[in-house]
Amino acid sequence: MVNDITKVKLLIVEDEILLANDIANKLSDNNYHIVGMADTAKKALDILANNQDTDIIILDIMLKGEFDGIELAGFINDKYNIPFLFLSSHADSHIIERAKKVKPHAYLLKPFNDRQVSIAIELALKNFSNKAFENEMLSKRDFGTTENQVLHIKNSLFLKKNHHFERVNLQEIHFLKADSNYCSVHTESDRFVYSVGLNKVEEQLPKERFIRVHRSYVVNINSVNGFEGNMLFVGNNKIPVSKTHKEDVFRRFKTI
Amino acid sequence: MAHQAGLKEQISDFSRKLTDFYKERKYFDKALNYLEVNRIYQDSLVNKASIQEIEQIKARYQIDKRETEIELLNTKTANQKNQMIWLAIGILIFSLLAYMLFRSNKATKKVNKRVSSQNVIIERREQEKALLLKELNHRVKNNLQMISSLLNLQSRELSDHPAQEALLTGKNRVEALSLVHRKLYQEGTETKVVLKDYIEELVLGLFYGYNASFKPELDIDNSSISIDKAIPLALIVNEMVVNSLKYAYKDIESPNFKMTLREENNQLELHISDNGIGFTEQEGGKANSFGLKLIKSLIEQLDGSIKRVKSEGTQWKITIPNN
Repeated sequence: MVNDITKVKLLIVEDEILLANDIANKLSDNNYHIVGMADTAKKALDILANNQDTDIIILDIMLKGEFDGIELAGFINDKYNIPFLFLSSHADSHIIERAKKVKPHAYLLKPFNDRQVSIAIELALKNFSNKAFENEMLSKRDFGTTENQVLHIKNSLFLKKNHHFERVNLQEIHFLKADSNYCSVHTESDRFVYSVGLNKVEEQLPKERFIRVHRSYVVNINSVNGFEGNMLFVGNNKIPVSKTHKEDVFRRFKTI
Repeated sequence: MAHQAGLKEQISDFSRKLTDFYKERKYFDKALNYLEVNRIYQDSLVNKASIQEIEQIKARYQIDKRETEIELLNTKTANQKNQMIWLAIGILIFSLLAYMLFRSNKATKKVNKRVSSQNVIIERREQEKALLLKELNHRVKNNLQMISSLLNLQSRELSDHPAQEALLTGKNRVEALSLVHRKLYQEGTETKVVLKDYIEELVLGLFYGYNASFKPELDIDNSSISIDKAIPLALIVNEMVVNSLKYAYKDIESPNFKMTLREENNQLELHISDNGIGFTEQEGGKANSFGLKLIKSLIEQLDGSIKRVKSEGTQWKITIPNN
């Protein structure tokens, strides 16, 4: 089942190995894929070099070795474009000031519980997708229980399910179908249901590739094999085109 | 009659005597003659006297003049002397003052230097203290995190073993405690915590941890509490919420959980209720005896009271003095 839907990939940089293991366990249980755990900046950069598709990095500010987490964040910003969140027990102004400069996407303060980890990851992804940064290490946020988070990050759709995010590559999506308050994402072989309205997902999709063909359907133009009357062939499925969208849809196809 | 000029007085006297003599002898022409001579010498004698007098006056005048000049000079020199003395005294006083000023300046400088060096020391001590406190907080937080991670790691190895449940319950208690620390040291050296912040965080965290499908209804006012009371209170709330989440909602269709906290007249009033299956004292005693014991002990510690309100489900009313 989890072939087309890729697990969100995480790197954990933390010099307390037990803590790193605990976080890794928690997140693995939540269907995240841990690409690696590093206790120094150097190891972290090595892991990143081999896993350039890492989706998010959890960074402890205090690290063993030559560089601390803030310096490492600077290197990551220079080389990659990956959201990261700072993990620290420090809440003093000096460190916050330094941390702000490398523009973290979220903070996670020790001691934390499972919920706070989940909120921090969600916040980091959300901020990254909105090109926002966290300026306040201590700001209180109350959106942890929102079920219907949809984010568009680097050619993928990040959809929140239960307490974690799943990633769907945009190219692999054939079409999306609305089912009252739910929305199903159809790929070549699978179908995934999320408790998000279709409109909310559509907002996050690139308009040049995905078009609304029906009140309940959004189609990936690149996946359309042909059409017959009011029906589009997408993969093995037939998708109806409604009258209100007909003109717009077929005009798009003529221009291709 | 060859009379010398040096003998004018004698001639004058003699001629008068001759005049008198000739008058008696009635040789008037000779008397007249001598009278004439007498008058001439008399005149010249008078002349001489007046000249002498003038000379004398002149001399006296010169002397007087000299004397006044001398006197003037004397007073002048005396004045100068006085001035010199005053000047000397002035200079002396001035230099004394200058010296004293210099001394006092030097002394104040020295004092200032000492004060500023003491200030530097005090400042450094303060910084050290702040740093130590920061480091201490850092360690407390890190260690609390370590304890909860350790319990987590061990409980994973005990899947389906009854001890797993116990470890996770323990972990929840540690996390409830940690939350107070987290909230406490974020705000600086403040020894009070705002209840709303950590109770909401605590309850939401437990709902997340127990995978609850519904949201709690929380209504907590803005009262704050000292850390001594915050930790027991956090543990009480933890037990209450865990009890509801673990036991209350079996086969309950639309579960809800309510918590209100108000401070009135220095009394914190905490209402906690669920619409779950409820329990009898006997059942409760079996299912989570330690939890209930813990609640009772902690309320005793806080000098508070707890009452079970009769209702569907379970409802508690807890009162704690807060001053």
